[in-house]
Amino acid sequence: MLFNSFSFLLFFPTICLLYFILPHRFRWVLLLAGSYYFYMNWQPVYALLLLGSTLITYGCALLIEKEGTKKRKKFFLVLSLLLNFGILFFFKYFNFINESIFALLSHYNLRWEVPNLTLLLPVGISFYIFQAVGYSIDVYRGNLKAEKHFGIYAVFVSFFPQLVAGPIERAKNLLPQFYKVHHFEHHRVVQGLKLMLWGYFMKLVVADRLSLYVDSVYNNVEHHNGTSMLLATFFFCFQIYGDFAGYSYIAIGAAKVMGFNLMTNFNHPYFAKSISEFWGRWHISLSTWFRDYVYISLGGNRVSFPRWQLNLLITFLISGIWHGANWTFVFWGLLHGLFLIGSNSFKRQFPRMSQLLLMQNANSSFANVLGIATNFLLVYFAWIFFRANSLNDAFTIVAGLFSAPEMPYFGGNGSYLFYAFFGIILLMAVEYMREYYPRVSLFEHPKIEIRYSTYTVLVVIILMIGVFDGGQFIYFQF
Amino acid sequence: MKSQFGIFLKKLTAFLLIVFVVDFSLGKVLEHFYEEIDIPTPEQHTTFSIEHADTDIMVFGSSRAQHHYDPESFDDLPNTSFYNTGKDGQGILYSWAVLKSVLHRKKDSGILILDLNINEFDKSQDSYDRLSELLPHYTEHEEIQDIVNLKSPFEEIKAISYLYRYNSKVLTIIKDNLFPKKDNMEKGYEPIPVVRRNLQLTVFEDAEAIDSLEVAAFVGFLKDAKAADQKVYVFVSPSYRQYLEEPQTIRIARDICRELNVPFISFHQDSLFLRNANYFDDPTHLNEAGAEIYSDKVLNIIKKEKILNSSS
Repeated sequence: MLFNSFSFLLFFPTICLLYFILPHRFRWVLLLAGSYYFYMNWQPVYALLLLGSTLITYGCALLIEKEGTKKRKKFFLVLSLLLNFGILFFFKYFNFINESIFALLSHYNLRWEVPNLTLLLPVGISFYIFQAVGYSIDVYRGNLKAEKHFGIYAVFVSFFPQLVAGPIERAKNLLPQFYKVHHFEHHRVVQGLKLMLWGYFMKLVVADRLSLYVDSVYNNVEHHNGTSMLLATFFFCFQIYGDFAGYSYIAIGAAKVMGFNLMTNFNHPYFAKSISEFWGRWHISLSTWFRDYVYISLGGNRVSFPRWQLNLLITFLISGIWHGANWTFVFWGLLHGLFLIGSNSFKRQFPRMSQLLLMQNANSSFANVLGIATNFLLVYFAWIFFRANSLNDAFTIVAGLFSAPEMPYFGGNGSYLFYAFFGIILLMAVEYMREYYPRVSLFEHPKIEIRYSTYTVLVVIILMIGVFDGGQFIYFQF
Repeated sequence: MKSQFGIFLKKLTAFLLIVFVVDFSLGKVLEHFYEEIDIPTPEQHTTFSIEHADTDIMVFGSSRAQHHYDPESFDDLPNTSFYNTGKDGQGILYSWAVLKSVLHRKKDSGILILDLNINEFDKSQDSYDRLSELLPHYTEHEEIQDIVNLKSPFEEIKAISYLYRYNSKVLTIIKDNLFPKKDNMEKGYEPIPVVRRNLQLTVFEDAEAIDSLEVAAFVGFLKDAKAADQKVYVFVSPSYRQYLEEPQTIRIARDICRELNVPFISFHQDSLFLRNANYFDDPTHLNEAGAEIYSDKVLNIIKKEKILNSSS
């Protein structure tokens, strides 16, 4: 079930109403049933995978806790990781690896005749598996007690607001919340609904509108000029943000309505002044997951400088491949890793010059604008590889960016570009206010007339220029 | 909790009421100015097709219909009025909806030409999404509601919102009212100027998946037209693409037409056009010169058929 479907607009209030009517001891049953129903709207049979991952991590965590020796604990952790990543590998990466081996061997005139699998990718598989695996590692590290109540644990893995596209929650934050009694609190419910409304704006007005242009250019690269590619990539920067952050706002808002606090997933990432800051603001639940369970496990930055850089590169390569089974994602991860390594090496080799160039100690508007612009350009460049259908397409687009300016593709009449820029400008204006003037908010204004007018204007904008025939959320495929 | 829920319900009701009032008022303003557009533009073309078009010869279909059937050719028929309801980006679903609205007011029998795309029945969500073009006429024209409802399972509920019905149209409405700029359109026909394109003749493969709903819409179109005592012709206009095998749409449409006794004439592999890239603007659209020749051919077929029918 999609958040931007009408079914969800019926499903969500029903679940909320029942949730607050039911006595606390039965609420987990409702959430579990609701979450599985939500998931089974795509491919009912794939709910078995969700259940499988839940059973494996639940059982292994209990065994990890029960076992006395470190060796035995490790055995069950490895078992949990192998089984979970095995599922992920089979459904998400099998064809990619198979095709890559085929391409490599064909190059040397060798035969490889393993057929591809004809399976649909289970929606959100990378999200719930990472959440469940994170739980196993936390129990192994002794950061968390294994959950005894299977039902509660199953709700933790399948909790519908964040099941298919995050935020990837930590058990330490979310699990205890299922034991808390949540009452209907007017203020909290309204806060949640506001977040959802903003999420819908980001998805329907910004992301889905921009996707019309981006898809036409990126899916027909050979028919478009460099200027259209430049514009399409610019649009994609905001499409992916609107799509993914929009989903996160809806997820966080929906959970808040019921009384659950999910972690912040985006914090105005396009106002970051460096790549490392960008990763502290973009898909925070995933970047902290990689930091806690991959980067730190590799040794983090408490190793020699070259090893530290290697750790960074490995982490970003894994992050790239997590996003999708395609070399374009690997390249995207590699680029971000290289950006960070470049920045670290420069700072190390030329500390004084880097202070001057990056104006690290300066707090001037110029330094801020320069940092934001440089970071945006780097991220912009990397998004080309993220969105392109193949590496060939990506390099065609990169070449196109450096071609002479021409008249771009308008996508029908000019009104299309007007709506596209309108959405981006409104989104960034609100982000700017939240970043630099967080206390000024029309949503939180003390005057009820202004608050209500803001909500109404947003609903009107969504109804007037939102794209209601838009497709899935991009991150569902990951 | 009850009092908290009570406060929430009160505020929610107030908010929904405000939204309803704003939606209604703004929607009515948009409706007014949408209907005010009286110069040939895509919006006015749809409004005219749905609200007023009632001629002796009417053309239905997609952009290929809109750009291929030149009214000048049909002027050869004495005392015969003509309108081309073909519309860019649309297909059989839109055509059927327009036909339903036309038949709602059309009393006399006439000639209906349905131009079918070569891949008309291929599965594509776009065919349904583009029905939003008809949303401004949703409430006024009950006869088209069943077709527009195919867009999504909850279209009926969505269409309660006035603003939703004018979704993405606000700028066009403002533009066409404040700075009217006519499209080069005559009786619905929009010629494509002749520009040399250097087109290459390519072999085209047919898609595999067929949309049974669109096939049903085609059957519905023909049956409705026949039931209203209209003479229907199904044409497939020329394209600059070579097909090694007959496309499924053509095969299915021909069988249906045979069954319903409707003339089916396909130019999709007509050698005259396949030899002449100059008649095309792109592989699926004839330019003005090509459209003129094609329209003459269509008219000749209709004339012949008329003579045959009158002599038999």
